[in-house]
Amino acid sequence: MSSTPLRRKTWVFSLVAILWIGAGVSFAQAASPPVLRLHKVHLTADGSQRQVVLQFSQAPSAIHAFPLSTPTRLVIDVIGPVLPHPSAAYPAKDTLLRRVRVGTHPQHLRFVLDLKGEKLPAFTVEQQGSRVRAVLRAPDRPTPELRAQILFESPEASSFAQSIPQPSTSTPDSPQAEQQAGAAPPPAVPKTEGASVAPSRTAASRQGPGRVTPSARRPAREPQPGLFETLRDRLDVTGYVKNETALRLHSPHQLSKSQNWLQAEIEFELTDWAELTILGRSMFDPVNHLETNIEDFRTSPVDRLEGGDSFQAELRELYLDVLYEDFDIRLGRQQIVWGESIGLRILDVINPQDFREFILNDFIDARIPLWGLRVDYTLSDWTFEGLWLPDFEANRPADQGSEFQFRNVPTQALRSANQPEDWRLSDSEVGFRITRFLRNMDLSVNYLYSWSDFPVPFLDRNTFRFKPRHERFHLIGGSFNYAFDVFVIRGEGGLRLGEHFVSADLPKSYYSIRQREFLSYVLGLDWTVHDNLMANVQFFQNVIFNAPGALVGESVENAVSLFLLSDFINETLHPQLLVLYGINFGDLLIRSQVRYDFSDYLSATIGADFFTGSRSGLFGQFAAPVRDHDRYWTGRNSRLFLEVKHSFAL
Amino acid sequence: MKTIGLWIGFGLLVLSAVSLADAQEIPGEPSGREIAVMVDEREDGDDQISEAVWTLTNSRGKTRKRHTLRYWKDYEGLDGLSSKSFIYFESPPDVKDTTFLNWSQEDAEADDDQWIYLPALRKVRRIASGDKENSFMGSDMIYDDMADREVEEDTHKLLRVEQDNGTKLYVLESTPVKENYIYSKKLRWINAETLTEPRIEFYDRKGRLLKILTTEWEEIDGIWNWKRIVVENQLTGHKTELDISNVRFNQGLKESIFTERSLRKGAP
Repeated sequence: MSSTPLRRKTWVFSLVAILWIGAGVSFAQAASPPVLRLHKVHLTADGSQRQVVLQFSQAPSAIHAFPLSTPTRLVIDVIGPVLPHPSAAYPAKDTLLRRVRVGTHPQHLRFVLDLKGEKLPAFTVEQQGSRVRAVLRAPDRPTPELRAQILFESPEASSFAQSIPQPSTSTPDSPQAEQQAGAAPPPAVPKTEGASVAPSRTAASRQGPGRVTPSARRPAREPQPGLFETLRDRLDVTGYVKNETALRLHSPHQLSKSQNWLQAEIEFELTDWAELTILGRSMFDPVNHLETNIEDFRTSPVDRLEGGDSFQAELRELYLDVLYEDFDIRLGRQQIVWGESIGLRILDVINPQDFREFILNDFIDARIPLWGLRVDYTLSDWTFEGLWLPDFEANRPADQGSEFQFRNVPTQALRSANQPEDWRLSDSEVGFRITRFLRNMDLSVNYLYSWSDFPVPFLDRNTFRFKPRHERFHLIGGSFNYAFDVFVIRGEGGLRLGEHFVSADLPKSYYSIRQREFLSYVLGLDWTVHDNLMANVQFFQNVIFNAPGALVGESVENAVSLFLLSDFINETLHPQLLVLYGINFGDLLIRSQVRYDFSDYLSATIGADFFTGSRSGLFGQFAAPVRDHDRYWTGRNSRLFLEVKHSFAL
Repeated sequence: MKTIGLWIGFGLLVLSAVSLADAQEIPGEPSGREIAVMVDEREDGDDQISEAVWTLTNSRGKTRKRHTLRYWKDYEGLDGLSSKSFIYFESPPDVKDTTFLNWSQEDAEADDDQWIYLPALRKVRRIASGDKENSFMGSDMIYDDMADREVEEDTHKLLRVEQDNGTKLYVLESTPVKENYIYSKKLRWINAETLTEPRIEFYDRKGRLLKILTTEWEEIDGIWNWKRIVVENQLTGHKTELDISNVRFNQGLKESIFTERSLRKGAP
């Protein structure tokens, strides 16, 4: 049994992440010989023209410049090998140039010229020996006076100071210069050291007087970027606030939930090749008929905080992405999704599932993320994926007496199951997948060595009490799709070796657990009926090979599904229908909803979920009338729901 | 024998008349087909990166905006491919991190390979591309508008030459060879100097004016590229505006950008 606290896991992975980054930086530093060093960043503003000169210890191998918008920037990559330069932002006092930022990358120094205004001015960037010169021309943003500023200067740069191109000292009364500098005559100021002696190559300085403001006499000495600026540049924060309210269609006609969600996802770009993602959410539900037994949470190894039985805050995902050539590495708490099917999970079984709302909430919300490592290697049309999951969490069934408690499974008895040990190498889950894109077709081969997410209900024959525990299984599977005309055929399947099944002939007091091979697969067809309508039909089948006698459950189970998706009115109205039909018991789940987007950020969804059919079926269990020993709201669970969601981006 | 000779003579006469018409609809100007070939062969770079803001406006004035980052690479028939493109959705938040990958086939009759990654599902899904009349991203452009159309798929006729503020424009009528094509014809205004197309009118199967596409062009690194596109549907009142910025040509884009990896990881 194990229950790893949130804080321990978080600290462990934060530490690992820091070590990763530290190791990466150290490696980059060790691998980069100190040959190209930044000596000086110099700005000259003259009329409508700005000249930014980057002075280096020697000539760069090459330069590469390109503009970006929103906000307006000019990026200059100076190709090395380079000596790492501390990330910094050097502010400029100018009507066009906000600041110059510099960052070190494995093979180059990147300079970002942050510009004011939305319009990108005409620019040229050229290399002149050990200097890189960028000239910007913005007639709409003239500077009122000729101004030269040293934005950065290294101690070694003093010997280079005299050679920086500056406004010319010739013809101080040139009328063209006054025209360039603006209507107001600029004040005459003394020439300063290193700021006005060399002849300029710009048109303005060829024509104009050498007027330099006092700011050039007090060069900014490596101003450090503020925390806010650093965060703003590297952080990407998105999320939503959402209310989900559901009303029971059958007696008692009451709310079954009124969940108020706040979710935020933070992406922090550490370097060009590393990014940290944090996804957290909290929920307050004053109705809360989806959870009733708060005591269960004390043993539940879920990384979340609970406040009473109506509030929770949860660290959903926390991972570090590292891109190294053709490798993608994701380390941390994450969701890993395999497979092709809609509505039911065949290969998508790596993460356990939260069943407190049965399968009515989105899988992205229902999957329980796991700590682990995922490595992808891409080679042309092939992708090779490896997984290592030292973390274990079980499926989370709905509480006893809650709205969606399983009616046909003694979940309460399974709660105390023995679990694999977290972080023990031999108890890890591992898997791999090979995917290939082909003409009209994609294929994948999958393998997973995993634990059953529901425990196996072993029975102690001496005490006649359940001693449930999780068991290992091998999953071998694959998936495919094939596109033709307006159709896509899809399929996925998985064969579980050594899956456990209960055989119970109770009149003969016979109860045992048997291991059998278990095949689960789906075949489906997407049909793009019309520009605004997509249809999908699927056939699911589960087969237990050589099924034991007196099997609890069906040896062959069949189901079909229909999914329709549409949109109207400038893609603002989105009707959707999902029908799942269990053939063995004739039970049915119908999910219909319509979403309307009031704006790109605000939407409302109304819908209904209907359960019908036999109590013995997967869906029909929630259509059955209440039993004496159940709580009164665990009867028929068909419902209406309303969801209002507001997204945000900071 | 004499009859056969007459028929051959008549045939040659007809052929020469057709050739003459094809070669020179307006004296002193190139033929429609020659202009279409020149437009088709206009330099468009080996690859391209660009940003775009899509503004979709319906007849009631309600607008939706999409910010995208696009990577495009010319394959020039390699592996039977015409080009590959990858689009990353930057905003708004509900579509952020959605990606779209298209492998355009050299064979105009063949369906493109297309995939989409939906962050809400965390899945890469192949999508059908057989119906080229489907709207591209909810805009007034359809997939067929986005694909490379071969010159031979239409017959081209130079209708007239116009002057617009001193700019010489060819007005070309391109009529599809294949029957029951999406459009019965297109009228294309072509800048005689730059071979860019500032205006295209699309006519539906019934011959009605369906939509008008106007384009502002800019020259970047010697290559003419879209700067702003406006498509107005004349039947529905729906409008699509596409503002393109930060265009970079010939960046040496790697093959790995156009794979499943980028779909899942987002913009390279």
